[in-house]
Amino acid sequence: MWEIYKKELLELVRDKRTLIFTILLPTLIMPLLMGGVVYMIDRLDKKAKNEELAYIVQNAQELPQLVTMLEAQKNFKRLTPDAVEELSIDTIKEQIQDKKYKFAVVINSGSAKTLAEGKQATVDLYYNSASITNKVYQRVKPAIESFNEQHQGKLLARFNFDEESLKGLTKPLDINRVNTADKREDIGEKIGGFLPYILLILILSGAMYPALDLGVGEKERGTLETLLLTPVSRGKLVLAKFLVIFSTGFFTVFLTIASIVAWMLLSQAVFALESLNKLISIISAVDVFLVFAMLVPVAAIFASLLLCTSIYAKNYKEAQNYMSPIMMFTIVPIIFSILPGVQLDSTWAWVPLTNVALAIKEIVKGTIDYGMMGIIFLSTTMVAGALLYFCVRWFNRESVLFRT
Amino acid sequence: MIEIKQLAKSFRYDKVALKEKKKKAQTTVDPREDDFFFHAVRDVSFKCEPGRVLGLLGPNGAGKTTTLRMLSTALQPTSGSILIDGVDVVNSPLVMRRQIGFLSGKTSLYRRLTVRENVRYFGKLHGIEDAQLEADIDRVFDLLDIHSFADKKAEDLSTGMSQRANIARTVIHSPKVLVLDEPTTGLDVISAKTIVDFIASYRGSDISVIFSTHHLHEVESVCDQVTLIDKGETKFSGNVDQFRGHGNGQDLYSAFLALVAQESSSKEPAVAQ
Repeated sequence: MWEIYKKELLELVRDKRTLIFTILLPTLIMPLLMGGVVYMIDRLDKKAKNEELAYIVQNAQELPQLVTMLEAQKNFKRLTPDAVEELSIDTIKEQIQDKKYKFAVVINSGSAKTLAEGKQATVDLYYNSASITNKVYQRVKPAIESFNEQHQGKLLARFNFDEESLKGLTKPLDINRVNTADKREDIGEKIGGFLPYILLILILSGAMYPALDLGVGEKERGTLETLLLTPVSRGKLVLAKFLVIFSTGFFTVFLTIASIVAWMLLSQAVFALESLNKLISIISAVDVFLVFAMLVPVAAIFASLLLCTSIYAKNYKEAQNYMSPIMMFTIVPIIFSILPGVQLDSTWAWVPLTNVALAIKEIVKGTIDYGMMGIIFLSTTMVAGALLYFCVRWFNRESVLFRT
Repeated sequence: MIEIKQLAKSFRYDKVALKEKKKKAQTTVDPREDDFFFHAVRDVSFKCEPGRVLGLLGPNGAGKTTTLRMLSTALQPTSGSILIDGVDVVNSPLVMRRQIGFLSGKTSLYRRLTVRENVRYFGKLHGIEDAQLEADIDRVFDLLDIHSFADKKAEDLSTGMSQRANIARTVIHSPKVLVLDEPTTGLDVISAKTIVDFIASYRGSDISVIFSTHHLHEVESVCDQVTLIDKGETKFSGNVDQFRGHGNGQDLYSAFLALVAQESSSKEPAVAQ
């Protein structure tokens, strides 16, 4: 059996496609892609926060204090084109579209009078929010808030109200929120939701190509029949192939995590993976071990499932067609784990993949129940074992092996 | 000695095949078909002594490959027996695989391994000890003149080289029975000659060779015996001269055509005594 295992690994190592999917993708391409995306988002975000915003104000004479506050904002540049007061709404929209300025504040006539009467007035803010990095509203808001605070002070003085009385009037009962979740639980809840998704998909993608190569690939190339005629039992053949697929799937996820951490440490400043950095700082080596331990039976499930599919398929194309449903089979249980109200309990502990996703979340949060973890390990191993048994049976079926 | 008696193999139609079969208007009655099964091999019997080469003939779909797959333990017979030196192949497949070498035109090598690695791999799977294996590899490579490309990857070999490497893989464990299923199909003249010469080298040895082919001139040049099967049944089993006698007495082609054509008129196989 180990001869087959060694030979399959040797063949995979010599295959460029395997090297790309199993080693190059997790060590270089994935971290570069992830780092690149984070870096780009960070740069665009910073640019949106600091870029100069040109704007116009219509009816500026109505609320000069507001105009002053807008002018006081950092990197705001007020334009005063001729006949600004005569611009129609359509023209303003058109000029924003043409990037003549980023936004326009239109102060409605009579606003000063309305405010003086102690009523609420409105100003219209025209801007284009189609871009995901648009920060116009967030940057204009502080000016409006400053204006409101100043105006509220005047009103309070007029009605002989102090600030505390105003609070009692507008918001008699306030909530003082005390979050008992510690920093780790808080971060764990956020990161633990998507971490299983990444880990499980990585195992699946790492195992997929070797599974195709070792099953239907051998069928197509005419080497499977030769192998079946050697004095090695079908059980050992399946086990050897299963172990190769299992190893590559697990190796892919291990390599990805290791390389992401290494890349993050090496170029933290450039890639700014702050959330992952926080995660690493609060998670111990034992937790990492527990996460990988949870992934062992998952890798076994995927390896058996992929091998079964690969050996059943008539050809490579048919096998590839089966991969989309398998991907769905993986994603749907993970989605269950992030649904509101779904928590690791004695019921969910028996649902394959969902249970592992929930357990990983709990491990990251530092709230894992070890008894529950045992149940998950047992149930997942049972599923993997059943699939492997099924795989051996298929390897003994002539109708599957010689299906053309 | 190989002894095959009343061998039969039936395949159950899968749902798709059954649907297609029902859709198709049956214009001719094929004795191999019934409602649920395709009886690919119905009654095949022959013997082959050590040192003799048996040519297995028959038209496409006659059941040659199925018969050879049963002989090589890839498929299990529905009924009948296959004995190698008196041992039932069906009951002891793992043991008997050590005695059988199988080569077909479709089997190939692991393309990312070198010839040496391929042959060594199969030698190890057949349980040959390391020291013995290296000696065996040298011997087989000498015999087939493989040393010059022994360390080339299989994907870089020419068809002829590849076929020689395949032969080395087939015989590395010194089998008692060689099963060759159309090994010359698709090969050029030189590559095919390599195979035919290789088969001929076993005449008079202690190895039995079963050789299926469509090329009757190859049968003429290397085979001692001929078995012809058609529609899953043995139509003839005897020596080459007896086979020739079923035609015009001059060539094997007329005998082949005569035996296949008389299928409907004769129920008993023409077994030479």
